[in-house]
Amino acid sequence: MNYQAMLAAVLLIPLLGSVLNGFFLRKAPRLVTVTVATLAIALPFVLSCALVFGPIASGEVIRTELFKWISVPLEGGWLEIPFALSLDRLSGILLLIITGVGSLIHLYAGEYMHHEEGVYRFFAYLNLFVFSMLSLVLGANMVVTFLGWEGVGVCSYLLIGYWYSDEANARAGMKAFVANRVGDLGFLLAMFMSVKLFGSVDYSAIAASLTNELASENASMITAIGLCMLLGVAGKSAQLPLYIWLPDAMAGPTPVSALIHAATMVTSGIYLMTRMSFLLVHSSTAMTTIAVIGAATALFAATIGLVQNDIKKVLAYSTVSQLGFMALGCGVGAFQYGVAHLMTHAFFKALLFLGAGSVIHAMHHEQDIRKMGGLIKKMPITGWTFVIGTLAIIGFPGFSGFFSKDEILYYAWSGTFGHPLLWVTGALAAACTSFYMVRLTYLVFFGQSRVEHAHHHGHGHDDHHHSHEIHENPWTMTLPLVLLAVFSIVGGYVSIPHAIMHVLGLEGDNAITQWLYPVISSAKEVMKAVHGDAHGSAALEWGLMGTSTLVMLIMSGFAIALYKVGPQGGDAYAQAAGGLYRLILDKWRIDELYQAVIIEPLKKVGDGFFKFGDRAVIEGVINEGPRGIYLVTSVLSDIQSGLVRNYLKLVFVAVVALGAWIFI
Amino acid sequence: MLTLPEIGLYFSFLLFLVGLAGVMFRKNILFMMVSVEILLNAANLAFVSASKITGTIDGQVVMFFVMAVAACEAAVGLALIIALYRTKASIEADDLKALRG
Repeated sequence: MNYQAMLAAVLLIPLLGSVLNGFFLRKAPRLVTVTVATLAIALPFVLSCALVFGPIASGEVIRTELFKWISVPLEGGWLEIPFALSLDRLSGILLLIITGVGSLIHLYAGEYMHHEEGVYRFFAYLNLFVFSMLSLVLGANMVVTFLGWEGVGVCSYLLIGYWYSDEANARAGMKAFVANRVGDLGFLLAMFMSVKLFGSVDYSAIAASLTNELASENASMITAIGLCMLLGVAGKSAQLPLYIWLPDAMAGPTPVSALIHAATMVTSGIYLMTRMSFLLVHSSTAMTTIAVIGAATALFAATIGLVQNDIKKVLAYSTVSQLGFMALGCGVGAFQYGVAHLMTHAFFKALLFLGAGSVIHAMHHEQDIRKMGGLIKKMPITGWTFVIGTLAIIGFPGFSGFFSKDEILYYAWSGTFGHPLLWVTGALAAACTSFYMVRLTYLVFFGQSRVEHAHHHGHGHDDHHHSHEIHENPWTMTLPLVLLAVFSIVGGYVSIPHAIMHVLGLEGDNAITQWLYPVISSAKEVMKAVHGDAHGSAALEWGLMGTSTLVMLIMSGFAIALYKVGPQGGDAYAQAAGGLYRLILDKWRIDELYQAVIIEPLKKVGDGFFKFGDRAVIEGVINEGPRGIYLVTSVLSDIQSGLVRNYLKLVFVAVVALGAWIFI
Repeated sequence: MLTLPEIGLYFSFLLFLVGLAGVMFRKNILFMMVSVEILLNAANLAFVSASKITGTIDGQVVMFFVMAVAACEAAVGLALIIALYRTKASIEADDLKALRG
């Protein structure tokens, strides 16, 4: 089997799984459905490993063209857009994450969803999602990527609204879809402008034709492409101002939150920015905007996370915040650490979501952390893996988040587009992260148990699982947790900071920088040529690292001290903050703001169009036209009275008139 | 002073008007039939008078044809009226509005 065929198989097997589950195995037993779905992701994972650790690691780029797709005339020539796949080192990382974490989550979901009826629908969507996500990262040109980009949006919509009989879930799905559509517009515009500027949408063709001269001649166009792309990124990767859909997306089943809204789909914006890094770095406006948006998102979402009481909502806001970190990393020119954080985040956030799902599953769909506590004794595996995930996300030294996040923060200060203020914002966000994650972990797993037993009785399902005792879930749910916990620890060692490498006696760049060198080298060269060398130093790196570690330890200790007494521990501070607390509890009332500023006026405009366009014009034509015809015909039909005498009278009148006309 | 054929011509016009009014305003089909006969005879009178004025015989020949047709018409018309009466139990023209638009 050659590499091209393997690559095509990686993409198509999940699609096959989706079709099988969606159309042919609807009546099949649950075990068959789950096995088919999991294998449809696990098999590509095996192939991906063979590809990525084989030819990709040795520096090859695998390209394959599945079929000719679009061909349109363009300025004398033809714009040819084949359905082409390309696997390089960047898409290789994403490929391993998607299929690897994806198969673990499929395995987990098989158990998590075992109460559900008609679970084939869930797995068909989930496989379809993986297919879309793979075409997003494997697409050799923007159009294939866009196909995947839309595909993941649709699957996200379908899966958020999976329990569609509850209207709130359906609305959350719709909100996600609409917010994503706004972003998609940006991506589309960026695509159109690249066609205009480069006459191509193929990444490698654009990279080849983008010279420094071309970039400086079309500086405003490049900036426009960058900013439009940022809009797309903001939609898909939940950045300000389009992040609002992600917290609501938690309405979906928890494995969906883990796979789509933490590990894969939401990171596609980061992937796109890294893919287009060679273009973005030509515009310092675009890069700075990305960095500022990223930093602002990181801090903004982290503040909301401080006060949430729903276990999934806390994780959702922390995802938005972490995505902000990744965007910040890309924006300051440290694309490789954006990707590194993408990877470590995929591990620890999937772990945290699956852990949360494990808790929710064991507690029969209770999500309020105020009603948990002390669970680590009953669910040791979930508990300790969750602790590992928390340590990773808050950047405890030695865990994966420490390396990737601190590298991003270091570059936020010292990177090409970095600025100390960006570091301050990022560090504040990291401080908030430490606080709310430790708060979450402590309230769920430690302290006194606040579990209410009464509410189990009213539950609809009755099966063996219905013992009132909370206990650890079966291996299909804990195995993914354990594996992800391992990766949450070791995943960070690809991006060991230079300062530490130096101490360890390692020379050269760290693993992620070396691995991604072919992808980001041109961006690096541009940054070096245009903006000079990055202005960091080992001392600065140590200082920043020490500061953020210290802040992390203080905030974690503070959180534990505060919530030792239970969830009411923070009440005194909440009361002291007063209005500010309520504002943050209401998520800064951004949804309300959008409602008032965008949605209501839009509704008014829509209402106007409805009243004028629909009611007046369309219904006017449709209703009044026939009414006019009816009026005319009713006069005409009245002539046909059916009375012979009347016809005769008309004949008489006509004859007289005719006679008068002829003879007079 | 009007000659006899001329008087006949004017009289035929009046007769025609009488017949026409009868067909137009009568509601009983039988009377309408009678009025139709008057119309035909008005036409006959006009033919004969015209024939006398022009001194040709054509008009008088046509009159015989018309009388023959009138006889047929009366026979067929009366038969229709009887058939109508059997189905509708009425010979009022206003009751027959099946062709109303």
